[in-house]
Amino acid sequence: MTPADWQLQNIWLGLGITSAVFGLYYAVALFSKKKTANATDLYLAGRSIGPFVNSLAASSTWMSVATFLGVVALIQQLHLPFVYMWVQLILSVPLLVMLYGASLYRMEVFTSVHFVQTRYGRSTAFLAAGWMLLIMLMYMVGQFIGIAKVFEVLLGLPYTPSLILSALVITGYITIGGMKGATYNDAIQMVIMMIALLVPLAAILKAMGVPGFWFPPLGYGSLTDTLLERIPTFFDLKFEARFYVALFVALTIGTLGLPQLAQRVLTSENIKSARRVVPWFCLWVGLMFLGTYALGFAGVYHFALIGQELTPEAADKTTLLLNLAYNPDWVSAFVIAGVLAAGVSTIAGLMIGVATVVGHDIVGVLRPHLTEAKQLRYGYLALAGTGVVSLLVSLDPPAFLITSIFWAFGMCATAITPMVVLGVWSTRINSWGAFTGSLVSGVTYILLSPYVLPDFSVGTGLVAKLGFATALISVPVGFILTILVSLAAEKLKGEVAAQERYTAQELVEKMHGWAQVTRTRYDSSEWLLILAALWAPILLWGLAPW
Amino acid sequence: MNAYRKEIRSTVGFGIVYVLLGHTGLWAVMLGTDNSIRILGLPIHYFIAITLGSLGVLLWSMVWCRYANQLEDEIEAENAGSFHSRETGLEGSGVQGKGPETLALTEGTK
Repeated sequence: MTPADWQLQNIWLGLGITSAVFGLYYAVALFSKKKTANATDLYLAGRSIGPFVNSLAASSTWMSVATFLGVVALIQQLHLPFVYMWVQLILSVPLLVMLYGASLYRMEVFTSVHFVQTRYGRSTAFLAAGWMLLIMLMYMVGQFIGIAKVFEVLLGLPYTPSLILSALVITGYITIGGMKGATYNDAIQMVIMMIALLVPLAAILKAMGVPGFWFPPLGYGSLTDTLLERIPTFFDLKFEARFYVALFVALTIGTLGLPQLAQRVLTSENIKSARRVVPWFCLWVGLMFLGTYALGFAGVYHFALIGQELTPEAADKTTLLLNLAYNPDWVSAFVIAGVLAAGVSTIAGLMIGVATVVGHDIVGVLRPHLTEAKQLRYGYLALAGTGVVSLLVSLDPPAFLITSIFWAFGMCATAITPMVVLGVWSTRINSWGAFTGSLVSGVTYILLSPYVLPDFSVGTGLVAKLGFATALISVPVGFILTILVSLAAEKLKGEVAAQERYTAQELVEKMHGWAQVTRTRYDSSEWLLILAALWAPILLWGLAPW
Repeated sequence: MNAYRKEIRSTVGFGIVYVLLGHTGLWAVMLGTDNSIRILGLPIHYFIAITLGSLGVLLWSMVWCRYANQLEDEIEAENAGSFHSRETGLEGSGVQGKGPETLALTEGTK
């Protein structure tokens, strides 16, 4: 199979669809620019977004190029276990809003880094900013590369010009529109994605003779017997129980700490509205995920039926190959618009996330007395700079940056989530615990991965590459150290620690909505010790050879 | 039960159910898989995984959202109650009570 098999024959279709969708995105961005008057508008859309639009935007930020291309390819390769890996990703926003999103909203912070700075001080904030920038950059480089490959397919251009063209076009519209433009564009992109995935999929299933084609998310059961005849192991679990526990530890805990998703929640018009984002988000993401499994299933069925083995490169294009096989060219062009929308919306969320951390959080700490106009100018510079830096990195990315995004989720679970979630729910977590826990566990995660010191890598194959094996050690270490060092610091640091706890009591109670500070709520150390004890067997399990 | 206890217990409870809904792979490991039992033509363990991981999480989120927003009102009510009792208790004592400025942080809950 060659690139000609998955490229559009009619290049004008590709050009037309690209121009049309980006024309729309620029129009929305220009319209939104008129409403951007200050830093809150630029980074948080003036905290004015209702739950319906915000849920579409959050879903869109969450859906990446992988939703259309990578997932289908991985279902081809891993079969059922990959579905289990993907299913739990829907928990990201519900757990995020429940565990800390509402509290961060009440604090009126801009990002998770801003929260860390307020809760633990400058040093821990710089550490958190470093981890978050690394995670978001890894995520963004992958998206830029994915989009450039889509441009290759659409326009038949070589990779490097495709990358430069796509990066400049995307950076332009996000910088112009800021968070408001990105939010409304994300919402539009989510609608495009849903149509581009589900409608052509129904046509594919109909052409395959599936009676339930009219409801693609669950209507493909009639293919099961034939699929099992060709691939009897498709529905096998394949991995031991520890693999499925690692999905929770590395992915669920990791994705709930993702800064770009947290920032989405902070754009809500009020707290109740932020909570209402959750069911809507689950509706859109649930539909898309179900559609993706159906598409993956149809892809495996199609190629099993014709007896064709796909190369990894071709497997990545299964969505396009299926559409080109069963649908007219113009439908395939629309599907590509969906892929573009998925990548662009994720990049938008990430770019604004990075720009807020740099332009607001870091610059804000270094130069706290900037005027509103200067804050806005730094914000626009940070946005444009983020795009340019990501482009330059994507031209020749270092190997560690293009490891799987799943590996970055494990990084987030290790170095970010413990300090943020524990900091919201306990007044006993302090800067010593948060800093030590994050630093030691983060460094452990990197050193035990197969990318830095392969000889010290934990696990082999998939569980090592995706960070699951390492996360089963580093995440428990992160939680246990954050808790134990915090409690030890209380004993060792005396008055200084007591003063920090006194401040934390006020902050934590107020971020949960209590007007009167009692200094007794969220102040028990018992549940922290129970939590640390619960992590201990997981850590021991993680240390056992895979 | 006061609103604080409700907040803690509901967060733990809702969180556990969310995790159970999204991690049916572990259920399958423990209970085993049987491809011959089908729902809508799909093996039952696969059907349960994808429906609980989408529609199940959606329904649970609707319940959580309603509960959490009601709890928000209860916290507001407790705040108002404690503010009122402080005002009453301090009446004529010459001590200035903490008023609206203390509540300012909760104004986001429109």
